[in-house]
Amino acid sequence: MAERSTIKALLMRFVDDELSEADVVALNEALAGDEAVQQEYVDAAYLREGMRRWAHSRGAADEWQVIRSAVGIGPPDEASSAGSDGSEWSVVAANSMPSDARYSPVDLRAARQRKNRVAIATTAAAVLILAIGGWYYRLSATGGFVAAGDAYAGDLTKSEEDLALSDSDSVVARLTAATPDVRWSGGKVPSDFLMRFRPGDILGIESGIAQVEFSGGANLVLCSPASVQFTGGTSARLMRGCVTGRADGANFVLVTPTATVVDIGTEFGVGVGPSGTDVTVFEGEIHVHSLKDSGDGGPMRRVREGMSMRIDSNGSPTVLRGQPDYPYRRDLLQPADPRGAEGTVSLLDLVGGNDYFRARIAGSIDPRTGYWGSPPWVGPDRQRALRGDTQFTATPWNPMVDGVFIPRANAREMQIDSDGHMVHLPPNNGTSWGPIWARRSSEIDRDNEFRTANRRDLWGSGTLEAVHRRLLDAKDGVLGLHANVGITFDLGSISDAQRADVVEFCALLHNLGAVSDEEGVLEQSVADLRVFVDGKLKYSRLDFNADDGEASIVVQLSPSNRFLTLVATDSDGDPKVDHVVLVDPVLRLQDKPPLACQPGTDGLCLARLLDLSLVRSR
Amino acid sequence: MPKGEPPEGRHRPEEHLDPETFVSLVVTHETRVRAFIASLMLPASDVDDVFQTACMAAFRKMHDFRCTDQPPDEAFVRWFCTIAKFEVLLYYRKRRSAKVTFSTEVVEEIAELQINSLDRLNYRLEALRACIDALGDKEKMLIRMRYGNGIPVADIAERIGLSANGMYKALERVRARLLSCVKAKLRAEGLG
Repeated sequence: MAERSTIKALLMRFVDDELSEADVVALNEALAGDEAVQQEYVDAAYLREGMRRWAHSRGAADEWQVIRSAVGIGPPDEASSAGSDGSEWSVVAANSMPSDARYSPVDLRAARQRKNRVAIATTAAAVLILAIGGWYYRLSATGGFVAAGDAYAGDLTKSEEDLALSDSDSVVARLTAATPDVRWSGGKVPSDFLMRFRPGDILGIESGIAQVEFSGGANLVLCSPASVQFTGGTSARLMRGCVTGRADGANFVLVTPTATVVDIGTEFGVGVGPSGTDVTVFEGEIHVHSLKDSGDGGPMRRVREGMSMRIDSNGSPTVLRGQPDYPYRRDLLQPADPRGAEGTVSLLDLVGGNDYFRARIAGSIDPRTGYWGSPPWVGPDRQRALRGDTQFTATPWNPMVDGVFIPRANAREMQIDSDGHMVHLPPNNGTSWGPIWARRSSEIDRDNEFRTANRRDLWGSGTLEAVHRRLLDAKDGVLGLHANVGITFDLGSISDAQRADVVEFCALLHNLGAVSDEEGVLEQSVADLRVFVDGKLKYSRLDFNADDGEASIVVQLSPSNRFLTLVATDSDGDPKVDHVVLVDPVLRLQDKPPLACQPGTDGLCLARLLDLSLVRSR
Repeated sequence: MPKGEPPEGRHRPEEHLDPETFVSLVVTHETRVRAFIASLMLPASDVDDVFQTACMAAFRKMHDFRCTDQPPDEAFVRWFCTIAKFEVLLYYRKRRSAKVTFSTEVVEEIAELQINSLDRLNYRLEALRACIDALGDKEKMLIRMRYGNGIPVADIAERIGLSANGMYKALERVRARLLSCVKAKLRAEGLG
């Protein structure tokens, strides 16, 4: 028989989930035929399980407080959750449901009521009164007893100020694609030229399909008619219609009038209609929570691949047979076909996103952070010049872009790529305005309202109109570099991804910056643009403004070149309205010549012969 | 309510379980059945799977459940736990070669011990919850990190700035306090 101290140590390791295989054998021996040890073991097992249940229920409650706070719902009533019994997770899986087991709302409602009765029976009278009060409070706060349509109407009438939307100065999502037939709700096009959204913004479509990407990495495809309100980089509110969502490896939260859907890294469809919220899982698994229960950490239901569930207007769940009748679209973005018939890659697509083979309508990179989801050009109440930290900032999320920077004001040496190439740039103001941006020309640009909706972003009252005009005439689109700013493209990564040599950089260069004075006279400003290849100056155009017109840039490249850097500076120490643009900027590609590696050749040559994709070290 | 009628939604004597009552009973006693399964399972990470298969099995056998007790809850939990025990054994049979686990005899003995004292264990779970609620914030945080988030003890120690050994001792103190608290509560209820 095992020593008493040994058994105690084994039981503690069991509670800690740290039993080795030898421990299991020893514990099994100690348990066999010894009721006293078995009793101790069972007590230890219940201790472990009890702590787990408690911790999960508390964790869930904390999580829901965060979510509720994010979407503007008040905190749950503490007193009412004190009596919950901790069994917050119920598991429903497609492959585990009996074929004839379709839980009606009545079933689960009855179960919930019975569960409440059990909890209430063990709770003191004072707590009971508070619990009942809190229960009614939660139901009214979440619209649990409100019909879906009413709840939707309530959401729509909520002003932005009513919502506890955090970090309202940030960009949390961007429109990445829309079909040509898209018609915006209320005739209102997205207000931002770069199709970005801040917390509280609403995107609604009456026809067509639109796709948005969140700063947290999730993507939603809206199928018309649909309306989505953006609440954060990893959360949104679906007010009507249907969406398809994908959040690889991210926790994305979608709130509807009756449910909260938590995507834990999968693909799903959610539809909101008069019957409530329908959820379908295409891949992986999601968690669905009825808003009616969210205050007390009520059951979180796992919905697995191939399964559909409805949370009706009363917040009651039903497992659905088959897929709900919503026109889900699982992916809208089309491959950019970067080489196309002309064998070129557009810099617009390189700036536009981290997925090189997709064509986004718009893209942007903040020159201070290297990230697209950074604050926009203006804060809530004032314009904001961007001052750099004199550092080159890498953009690891975008493998085709090496990094970005705001040049130093004092004309000292500046690092312009991750290989450490240093260059001397002229004295400048040392600040920039807004992100480096890319816009593909789109049908949206023909919308008059859209063309005048962005003045608050301080493009300069004449700039935006000029950009729109130029976009309509562009073959691909426009890349914007408002002085003072620099961006470096990784030619090596592009070459590897395309399995081709990058042989030429071409674009049309213009300064579209212009601002109207009080009398409506357009004022222009001069700027410089320099092009470096691996730290060597290959092209420059200095002191040019809008009246100087467009110039053609052609820079020859060789397969050994690694970095292409574009730098826009203010020329005269004043960066205002120095809006340098590159129209239809492309890299021309050429198939690599066949390699003939000699005996004893190096690894790079062998790898290319074997058609291996090399990842170049940074 | 006419004399002799069971309360609304309750199981009638000698009648089969209907799906609504079945679901209601499962939801009500899910925690107890899960605790039962968890006590028989190594590793505990597969408890969810076994609980689901047990639910399915119980649902298929729903019409076999007979009971004259009112309410039928305790009889249902005993019946459900018996089904769960067989699901655990089936689980072990399928995976016996992959993992070192308890022997069939030990599983049977532990299961039997619990099925004969489900009432007491239910009180134990309720008492434990009250005892955890009465802990200080730091102790609760430890429980959340270890048992809610599943963070290994060594990682918690690193985050808090303690040695791993110190963290094990801290957790042991928390558990000892809980066991003592539970014991006192059960004794007060005449169940100790």
